[in-house]
Amino acid sequence: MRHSIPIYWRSRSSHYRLELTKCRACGRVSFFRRPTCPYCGSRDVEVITASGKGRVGLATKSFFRVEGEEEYLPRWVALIELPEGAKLLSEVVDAFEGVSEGDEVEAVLRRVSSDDPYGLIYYGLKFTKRVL
Amino acid sequence: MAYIKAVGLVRVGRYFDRSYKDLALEAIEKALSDGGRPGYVVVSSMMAESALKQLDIGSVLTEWLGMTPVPAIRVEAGENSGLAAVEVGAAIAEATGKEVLVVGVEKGTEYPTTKTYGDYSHILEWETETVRNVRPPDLAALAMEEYMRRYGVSREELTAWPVKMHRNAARVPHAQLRFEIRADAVPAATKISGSLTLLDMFPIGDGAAAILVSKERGDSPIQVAGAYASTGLRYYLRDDPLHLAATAEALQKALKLTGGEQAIEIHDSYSIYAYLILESAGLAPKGRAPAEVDGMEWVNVSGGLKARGHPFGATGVYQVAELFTLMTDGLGGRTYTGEWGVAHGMSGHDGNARVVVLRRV
Amino acid sequence: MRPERRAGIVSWGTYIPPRRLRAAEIAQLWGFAPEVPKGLWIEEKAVAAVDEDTVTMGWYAARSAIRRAGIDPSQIEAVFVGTESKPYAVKPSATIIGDALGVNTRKLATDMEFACRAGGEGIRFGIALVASGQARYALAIGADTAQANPGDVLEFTAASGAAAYIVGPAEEAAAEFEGVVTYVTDTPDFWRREGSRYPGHGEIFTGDPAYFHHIMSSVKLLMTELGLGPEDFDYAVFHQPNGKFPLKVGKRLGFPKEKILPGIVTPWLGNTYNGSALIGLAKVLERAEPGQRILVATFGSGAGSDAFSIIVKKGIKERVKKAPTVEELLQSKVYISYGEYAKHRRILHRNVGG
Repeated sequence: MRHSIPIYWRSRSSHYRLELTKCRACGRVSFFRRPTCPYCGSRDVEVITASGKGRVGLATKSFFRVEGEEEYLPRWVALIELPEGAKLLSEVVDAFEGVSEGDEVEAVLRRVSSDDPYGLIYYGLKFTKRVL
Repeated sequence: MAYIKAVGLVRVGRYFDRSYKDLALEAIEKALSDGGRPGYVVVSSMMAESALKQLDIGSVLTEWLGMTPVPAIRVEAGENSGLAAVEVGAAIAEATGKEVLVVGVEKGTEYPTTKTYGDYSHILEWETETVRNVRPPDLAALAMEEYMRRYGVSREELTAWPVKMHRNAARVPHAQLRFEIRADAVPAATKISGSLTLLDMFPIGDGAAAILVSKERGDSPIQVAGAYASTGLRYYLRDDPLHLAATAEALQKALKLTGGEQAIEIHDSYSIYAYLILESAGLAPKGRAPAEVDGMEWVNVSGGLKARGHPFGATGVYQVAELFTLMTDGLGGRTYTGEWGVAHGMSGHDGNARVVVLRRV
Repeated sequence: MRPERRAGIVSWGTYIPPRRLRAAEIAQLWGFAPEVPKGLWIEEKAVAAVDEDTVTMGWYAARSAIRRAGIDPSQIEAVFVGTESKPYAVKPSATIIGDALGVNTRKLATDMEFACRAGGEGIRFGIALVASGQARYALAIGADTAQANPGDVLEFTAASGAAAYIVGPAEEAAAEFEGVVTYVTDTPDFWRREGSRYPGHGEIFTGDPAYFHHIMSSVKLLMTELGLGPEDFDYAVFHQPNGKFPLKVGKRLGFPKEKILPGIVTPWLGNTYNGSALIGLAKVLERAEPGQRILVATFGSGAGSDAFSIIVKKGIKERVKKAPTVEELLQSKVYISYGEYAKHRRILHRNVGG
């Protein structure tokens, strides 16, 4: 079994929905639900859920070959900027014409990892260029 | 602080017929050939669990070296395990008065590269990076993209580093890749991610390096004069991903000590990181490192991670052993006669950075 | 009053993957004469990517439905996923979609199998919950990554897609249920044994004894109970395994082609199994006028059919624009090769795991 059950399950609200941490002390917003602000160290933080809209800051087309990931290659990996003020790294999908700085994207649920053939499937958010 | 009494290292390469025990033994025998008697063993190996299926590698090595019951500990800080082990070893030497054997050993070739790359990718944060299918070369590729755009530097200009590293390593007996490369081979090599190719990236290999440190100087010519370490934010949390803040913090402290004059070994896991490290430390102006590296005589004389190689957990120990050698007997046909040697390492995209400063005494 | 009248379609949503495979390419590879796909009226089909499945497609369709409804997902108290392509044989897609959308933990949830019609049955369960006062909103999804043995004629049409319907009180609905009838018998026209990757089917047996008999039975029963005839309906949407069958069954029931064509999507989408009739219905809802009456007949092999009579209400037009439409999803496309299709749909034999 390659995929832990509780490790992903306990954070599924962050993996399924775009949860961000907003610091009440310094005002900064960071990706993922966390107990402390990574910028100022304060524990006075709240969780907000982002809209799912984003903008590509930087993107790369990856051919890096790790065992078990062959069927997902090549894939686009990008630094996504959210209007809520946080950034995150994500795959960009449906990128038929490539991915460039400034592309408007939207978060969608996809398989992120699958412990094939008999283990758990992890679902999470990737960003799509196909924004309708 | 502590003094380096002796060093030993093995040629970095692919050793299907030799185990980590064999390689460690060879490096250690060289380091102990002057009769050193370690009272403590500090081991660095990034992939001991994943490749060697070995926890508590320290007690296994002490037994195989015939050193039982000498205490042993393994230190891990991702790619930076080697310098972390030197830092810890020097501190134990100073605190206990014992002679400390620091040994870094790695077997990158026990499994096919597709598995080794997978284990190596765990240097990133699992739940916000790795599980989201982001891999270390992707971060270097993004940084490369931003660098070219921000400073108007072309992909061709970025080939200066790997060419220089291969030229240096060709003269270094223990380097893994002892051949020069042409600049135009770099962009034409196998694509890894974005504009980054195989020739912008460290090779996978096996290696072992050992140093013996002691609180007592004896006739040691080189002191471990300082060790600075810092952690850094994940790539996506940084306001400026091109500023390697942890590296800058550690290196700037070191350079205050050295006054800016030193032989230096930096963590060039990817070409772009070499430029960013130099610029983050103030050793080159922003956007200018690619143009200036050819003129830097005392940077990565070993050939760096690119061409000497990067046996992960052993690399930092190699760096310190190389600087010791460069400052004493000479390395690659050159001897550094200055006062200071600086070894820099980092893990991933500056997740943690450490700098060990050596001083001629 | 029929209890179904207390419930209606509050909103709907669909998902159609962008990748499309042309029927001509399948014909060429597998040695079918070009007249074969023409005879089925199938031009191309939608293909889910390697990281898409019933869960991800159902999620997108449901998210569109939630946006279109303007409701808080925590108000949804039932999630039904009708599918014959479950990512897990045991572990419901409904719970994953539910948590991913923020549906209330106090809810019913289940995945249901009845070949292509389980999505429709989910709507019936939603109606029952709403009409009996047990839930205010129920989410019924029909989604599939349809399977077909490579080289079998079914491969022309086996496609990927999803539709989602939020069933709620008639007062809040964009379209009300006037009546519904389900007709079911044991008729083995098409099946997939446990452990089998691809279905088996009875070829021409899937026609008259199965598709035609069950749809005609459910629709006739419905029209009799409601006292209606084909002239009373503005649209007739049928389960559509190919482009021709809905026109044929509609004709036999007395519906003119003009009422059937607007709900036909298969020629450019393929047969999305549990998405089939429900995506056709969504396409019609996205152009229907208040007061118009829509017949929807699902069909699932094994076999059964639901017939719904739906009356469109005022206010539907505003809801249409709040989420992607079937037309937009159909037009947003890119063509792929058979090789890419084989890779994405995992029909290539690979050593996996270990």
